Amino acid sequence: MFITIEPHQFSANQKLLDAMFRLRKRVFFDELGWDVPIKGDRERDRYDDHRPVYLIWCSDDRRTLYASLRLMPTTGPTLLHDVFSRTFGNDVDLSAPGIWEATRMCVDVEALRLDHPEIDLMRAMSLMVALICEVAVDKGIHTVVSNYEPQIARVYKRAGAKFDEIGRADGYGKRPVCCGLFEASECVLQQIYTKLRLSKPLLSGLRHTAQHHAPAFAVNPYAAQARFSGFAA
Amino acid sequence: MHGVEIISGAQEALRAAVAAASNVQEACEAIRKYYDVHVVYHLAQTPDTGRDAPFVKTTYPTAWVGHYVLNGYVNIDPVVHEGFQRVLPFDWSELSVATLQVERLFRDAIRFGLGASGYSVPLTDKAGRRALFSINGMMVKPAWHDFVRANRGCLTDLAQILHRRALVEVYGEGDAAQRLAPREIECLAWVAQGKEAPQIAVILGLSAHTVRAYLKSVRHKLNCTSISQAVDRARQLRILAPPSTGGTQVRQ
Repeated sequence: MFITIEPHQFSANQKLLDAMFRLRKRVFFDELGWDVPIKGDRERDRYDDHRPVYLIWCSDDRRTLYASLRLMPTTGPTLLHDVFSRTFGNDVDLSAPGIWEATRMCVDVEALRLDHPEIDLMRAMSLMVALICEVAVDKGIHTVVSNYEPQIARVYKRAGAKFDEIGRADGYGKRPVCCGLFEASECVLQQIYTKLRLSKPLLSGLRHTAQHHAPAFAVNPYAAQARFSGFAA
Repeated sequence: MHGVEIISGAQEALRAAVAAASNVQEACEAIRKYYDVHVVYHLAQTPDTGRDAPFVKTTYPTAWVGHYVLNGYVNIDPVVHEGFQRVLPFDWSELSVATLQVERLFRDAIRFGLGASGYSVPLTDKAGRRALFSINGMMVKPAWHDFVRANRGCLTDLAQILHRRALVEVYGEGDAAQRLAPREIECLAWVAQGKEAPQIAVILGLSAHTVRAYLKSVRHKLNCTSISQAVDRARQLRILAPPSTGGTQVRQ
């Protein structure tokens, strides 16, 4: 299931969040070699104390985490402003209501392989992009600033995401890091649903304008399939 | 709703009215008049505000405010308690708390002339200060949801402008203007030369959406209610050369 966890839900989701901090350590510190603050086997920085929103993909019983990312408004303190501006320059430093920042997107490949062997890493990353877009459109966020690895850009494009690369930095970790400005709109979201062959929103109970969605789904030949068609990216 | 909203002249005028209001109360009234909803702005009490009472401005009837205070409703009001914990804008129907006390609070509110629907925008600024902007209306869903969906971009904008007005009122000074990024200055310089977002997009090799996002960021950083005001402000600040020199050469 795909969920958002806001500060008022932190205590009820402590185990999931803890799993997320441990996953982030494995991905960003161990694998990518990023200069991120580590405490034991967890990666957690000061923006996590600043009450962000986490977008989470987990098992229905909320016991297994598959993927996570962090969303923050750019009107408040943001990582790309404070930390990445050293590597990206100021061009990634946008600040306005309606523009939010997504960081620390990561996937637990092992957990995914066990529970969803049909979904590969690329598909998983694409689903997380779909999730960001879905939440953004639902909440009136029109633009998302996010960092990603250069080779992922291709995957996002294929997933129907619409974005401009606005910065690229070498030497932050083992590989270069890109910063992109992602458009979030009904139009882009529909494109993502189509490209990823998603027959319904990832978030359950999402109040979408049905009239906008119905036609797109009606013409989708994969609509009858399970939510995850296992379409390899 | 598609991408960066195209803001109508009326909404731009409303933003200007809110920014120019002599105080936050007056700004709330201006929003109320425009949308026909009640408006509440609530600046969170933090240790460094040096205030012994929370800063709350509202268009609610005085009788309701009195009743609310008298009944200690602030202690159970889920909009306040959960709202300050939340980050994303939310409809009051999303609030998770549903006790008998809370039910009574909402029933009372309606008895005092408030609407059954509400929508709140949690606010945060670079200094980490938090506030909550809420509207309350008579409409019921689905009309209410359509109303919110159609206006939330503008409401979020207004909420931030109101927040800055409040900071001036509470602290006597606003946020210092944030530094503009080279790309933001570039986009603004082209606007100053009369170019539109799609043209600028072609010149800079970006999408029109990205250019609009940069311009929105400029407007917010310079604390302006329109992009033409932002051009003027940037000239005053010598970020852009004044028009009299014949060009809009970027200074830095």
